[in-house]
Amino acid sequence: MPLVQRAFCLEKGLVPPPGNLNPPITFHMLDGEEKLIGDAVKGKSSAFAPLYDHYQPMIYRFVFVKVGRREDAEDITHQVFLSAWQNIGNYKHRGHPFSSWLYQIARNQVVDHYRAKKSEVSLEVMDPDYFVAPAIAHFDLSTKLEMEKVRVAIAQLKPEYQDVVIMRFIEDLSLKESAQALAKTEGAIKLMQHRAIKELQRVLDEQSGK
Amino acid sequence: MTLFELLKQFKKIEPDTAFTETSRRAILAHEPVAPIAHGWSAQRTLWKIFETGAAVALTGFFVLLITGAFSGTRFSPVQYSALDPQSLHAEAQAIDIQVQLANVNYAEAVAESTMPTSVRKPASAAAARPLLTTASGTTPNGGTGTATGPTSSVTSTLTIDQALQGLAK
Repeated sequence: MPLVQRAFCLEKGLVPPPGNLNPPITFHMLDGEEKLIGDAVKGKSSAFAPLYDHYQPMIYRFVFVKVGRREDAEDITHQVFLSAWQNIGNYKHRGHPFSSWLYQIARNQVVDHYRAKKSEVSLEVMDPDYFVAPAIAHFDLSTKLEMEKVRVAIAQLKPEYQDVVIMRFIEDLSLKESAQALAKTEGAIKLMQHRAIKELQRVLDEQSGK
Repeated sequence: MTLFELLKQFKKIEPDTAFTETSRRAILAHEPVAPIAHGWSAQRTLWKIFETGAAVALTGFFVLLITGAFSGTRFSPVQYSALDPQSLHAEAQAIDIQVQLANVNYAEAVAESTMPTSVRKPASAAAARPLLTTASGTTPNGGTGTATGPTSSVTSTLTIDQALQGLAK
């Protein structure tokens, strides 16, 4: 674990995860993904379906953390995959994971969403049950509230910091995958994740009135 | 619960299964919009070559057309009579002559009005001679043409306009 990160965790009273702070390198590719993508590029919907099943939850979470509303997250996720499928003919495999292309579409869709629709209701005054997907409805109320606080804090970060936090600490993408998805170097991602966590902690401290 | 543990909890968020099913079905019901291009095709390559060639030829044709039209009208050498060196020279010569004649007339008029009758003719001739010989107005003995002729009191009575009128007559 880098000394700076360890010092930061200790300073903030955070319990650093055992071993390395960096999540383990995990590749989130499907078996035979390249063939599936190739068939999908040729217009085979049967090849796109497994890609949808595999990447849809990841993109949904990415969008959900950014927009906060379940309905909006669903709409945007649907648009992301519709756009991906309709434009799959333009996809060119250049060694980057397929997910980085989907993340790119998702980022653009989120930007379009915020451009088209200014937030009408303060997110903090709404019922947390409204935000949290049914899949984690079994969590107790205090956990859901804490998660919502963190989500609101993430939403206050710069967009690129949001991306790094989601990819590195929620989706457990490797440095390499995150770097490819964000078109940055691994060194830049390391620096950004450090700053993003520091900023996130500061926002959370402000929220709790420390 | 620490921040990192909370962040990990987010991974448990899953989209609604009903939404997933509906969305999946709706998306896969569509056909890809973008033209699907796979591999190399001789027909496509030939068509691209033809397209590029046609574009270059058309551009070249228009460039020639435009530059040809300009060179025929705007950029051909134009002769202006006002800038002809010979006519300019002739004009300059004519101006010099007029000035000299005006000075002669002026000097004659002044001499006649100021000199006695007995010496009027030779004096006017003597006054006029240096002016006729030099264009700069200097006399051979170093003085100016006007300085040898009139006095200041007489000069005030005869203006250049009057001298010119006399010349016209």
